[in-house]
Amino acid sequence: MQTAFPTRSHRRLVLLVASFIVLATGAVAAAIGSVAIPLETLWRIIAAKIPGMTIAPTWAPSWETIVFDIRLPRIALAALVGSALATSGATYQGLLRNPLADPYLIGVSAGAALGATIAIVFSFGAISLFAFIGAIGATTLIYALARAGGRTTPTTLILAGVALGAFLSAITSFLMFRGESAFNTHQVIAWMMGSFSLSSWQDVAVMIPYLGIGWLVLYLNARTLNVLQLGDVQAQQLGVPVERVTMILVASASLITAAAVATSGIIGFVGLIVPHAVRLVWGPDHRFLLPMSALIGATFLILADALARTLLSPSELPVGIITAFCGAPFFLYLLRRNRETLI
Amino acid sequence: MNTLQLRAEGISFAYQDKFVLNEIDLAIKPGELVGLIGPNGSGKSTLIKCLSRVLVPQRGRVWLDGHTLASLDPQQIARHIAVVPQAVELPPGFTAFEIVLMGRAPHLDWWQNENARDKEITRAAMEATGTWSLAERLVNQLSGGERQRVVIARALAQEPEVLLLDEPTAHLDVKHQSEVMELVRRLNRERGLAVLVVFHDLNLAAQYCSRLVLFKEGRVYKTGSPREVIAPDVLREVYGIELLVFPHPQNQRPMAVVAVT
Amino acid sequence: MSTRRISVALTALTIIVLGLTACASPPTAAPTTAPAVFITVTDDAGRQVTLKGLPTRIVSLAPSNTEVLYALGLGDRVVGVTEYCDYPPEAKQKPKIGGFANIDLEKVIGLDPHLVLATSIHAKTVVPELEKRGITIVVVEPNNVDDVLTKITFVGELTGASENANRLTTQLKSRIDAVTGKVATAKTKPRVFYEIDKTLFTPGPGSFIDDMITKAGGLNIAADAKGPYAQLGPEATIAKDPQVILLGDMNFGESPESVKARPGWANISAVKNGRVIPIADENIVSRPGPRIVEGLELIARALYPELFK
Repeated sequence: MQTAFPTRSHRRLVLLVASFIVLATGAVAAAIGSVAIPLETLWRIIAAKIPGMTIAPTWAPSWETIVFDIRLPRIALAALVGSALATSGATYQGLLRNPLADPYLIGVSAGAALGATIAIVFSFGAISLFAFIGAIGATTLIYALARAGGRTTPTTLILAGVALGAFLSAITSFLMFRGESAFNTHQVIAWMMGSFSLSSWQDVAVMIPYLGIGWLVLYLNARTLNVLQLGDVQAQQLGVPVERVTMILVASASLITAAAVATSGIIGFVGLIVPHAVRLVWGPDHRFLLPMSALIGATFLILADALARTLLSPSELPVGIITAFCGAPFFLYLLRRNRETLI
Repeated sequence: MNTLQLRAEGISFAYQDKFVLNEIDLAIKPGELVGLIGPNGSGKSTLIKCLSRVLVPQRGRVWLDGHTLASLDPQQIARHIAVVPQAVELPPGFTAFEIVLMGRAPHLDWWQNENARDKEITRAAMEATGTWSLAERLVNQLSGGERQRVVIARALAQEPEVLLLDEPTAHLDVKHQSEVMELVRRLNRERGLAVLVVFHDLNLAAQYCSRLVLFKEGRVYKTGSPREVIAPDVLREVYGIELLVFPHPQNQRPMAVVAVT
Repeated sequence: MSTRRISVALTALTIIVLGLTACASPPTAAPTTAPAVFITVTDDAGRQVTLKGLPTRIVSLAPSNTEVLYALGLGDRVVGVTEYCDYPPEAKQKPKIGGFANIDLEKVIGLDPHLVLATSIHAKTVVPELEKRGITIVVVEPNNVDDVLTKITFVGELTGASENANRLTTQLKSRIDAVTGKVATAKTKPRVFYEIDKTLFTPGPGSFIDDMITKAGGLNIAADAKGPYAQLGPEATIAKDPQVILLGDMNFGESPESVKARPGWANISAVKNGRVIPIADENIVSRPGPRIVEGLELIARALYPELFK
């Protein structure tokens, strides 16, 4: 007979360690690039920026530009996008009670792709803005469609998502074809595969408010997400306003996914694999799952981006290809190891 | 002591166009252990859902003392009415303690986490149901009877005045059936809860309930004491088979067995 | 401290660190003395660009611009080229900074260029990003054959090589005039179909190749298409009955034989009269650099074999 309350207190330590790993990975990634900057010099370049430190520059000014204006914004953006996708994926997997859900299931990717294609084919520019509007628009439509029959259940949401997604993809393909330009098609496909190659601090600044709001709402609803795992009926019998919570979660998760996709294209696997892997190892409590997924997602994407820009230097691989290649075998490995706790 | 009673007034519910419940009037008073029996598909589970506001009846009202359920939000309802569902599948990966702790949800604001008092109430609920020793075990590793008791503990953690149980002993062996019903009876007596239990087993219903409600095709066919309801001509009308009824040797409550031809 | 508080604190800390780094990033290295302004121009994307001094380190983001630089004798000032810059052969030895539209910003900045020459495909993506980091970048995009000469002069201005530019453009102009002069004497112009690829992509009005066909005295059968690139169906192509077919997709497997084998194509005049001409190096026809004149001459020869022996 035990006396103490059961806790999982080592989780706090794990989160702390994971945070440091994110920072360390970022530091390592800052040392990697197509221009070889020695690690020691890198530290001095960064240290020189700390107010109060006076270090005489022994490096070319272009190196400072490379570190602070090319590499660091990329790394920061990769971290933000990775955490956004992983958090959103964890939310959808919890909300839909489906471990194979990903952030793109409810229309975000189809809508964003259509928006981006319209911007590219009609040369409107502002690809990010169009992608964002497309993503939010598609999700709203899909939610409304699912709601039209009464309540939104996981099944109706997924069905509506697949149906509208297919429709939007058809329009996108038609536009690409009618665009009659090989270059436009190339641009659309390149955008869809995801990339951080032209990231700047502005992109980072734009993402932060969306990610901040969305993440805050999602984390505050983590306990409710736990209760939702019991199913809609039991959750309602425990006082959860299921319909309202579903709407809030869909809205918040879609918001951060749309922001991520608008900034850097459709990067797959992060939102599916990361939360699933975290759940396999540490269980389904969303109060741990959400922040841990965010941290691991950030680390994963920083590394993937570092690979993307160095493997075929000076050409760049779309980072979505890296995530796909890395994601699949990792998941298979975890699957074999944890058969009993497979959800 | 509990003073809240739950009352259904003229409840009619239809799935699409088919009415599954027709003008149901039913009251559960504090301290009562009411049994709901009837053939499969007679609307018993649907009534539980209407009484817990998971389903909204097209006609009629459900009263929780002086308030209609329609005037209360889900959280308010859940603070007074707890439901133990049928043969429940619990999400794997959670411990028994975490599942029972979810029973505190009605008493927390959406942004709040459970505090020490919530955990204390959870422990008390688990001790009352004999599940405290299972606290750190993962629910998917528990037996059917253990899982059922964990869900009852969760219902208790809600600190309800009304307890609705939907076939809590289905799929349980004799020993566990008895354990669960003894527990329910004890809680009913000690806490004065208003309890409604849906039974598929007539004899179990007769043994434990002070009053029985017999459903037939979505209507109340008969309500009364076990001796009044468990009677051969009544049961023949409802179930369509011949049953022999005789008193239990220890407490004279009716026992029904199928007549052999 | 609860997990939640730690997470919130860590998030706040991360945002603060990011914020500090964002504030700390410099726009570019500060020059030590006021630079002498060498020249201010308006480029082909409508941007005002100021060059601070003679550019001796030049990066080219397109093969056409690379060819222009070498033709102006500036080969040793070129410090970075794309993977597709294959002419002249010496260009292949230079450090690579990327491919088609996919440019490695880091590499470009690391080469410390005084001037980067881009084209319109970079205008909305690479150009603003390099500009933000203090790189002088100019968009050069000729629209037609005559425009190529204008741009050569432009690049000459930018690089202080105006003399070489003049010499080059004069040469090229006389070759162009030779072609247009000769074909002006022709009594009938042949109908021409230029095939970009097997799906019958063809250059329409406003495109470079269309301009070349016209200058070479041909009638582009896609002259009434809706844009600079059109896709004629096989029916439309057969109906227009081109007298000369130029195969720009020889390197993708098409040949006079494969064209003849297409259903219904055997009756087209060009096929019947054996005037399906594959273009061996289609770069001279599509790259808007100095060799475009060779391309013009090649097309003229294909259209008027008797005039250009």
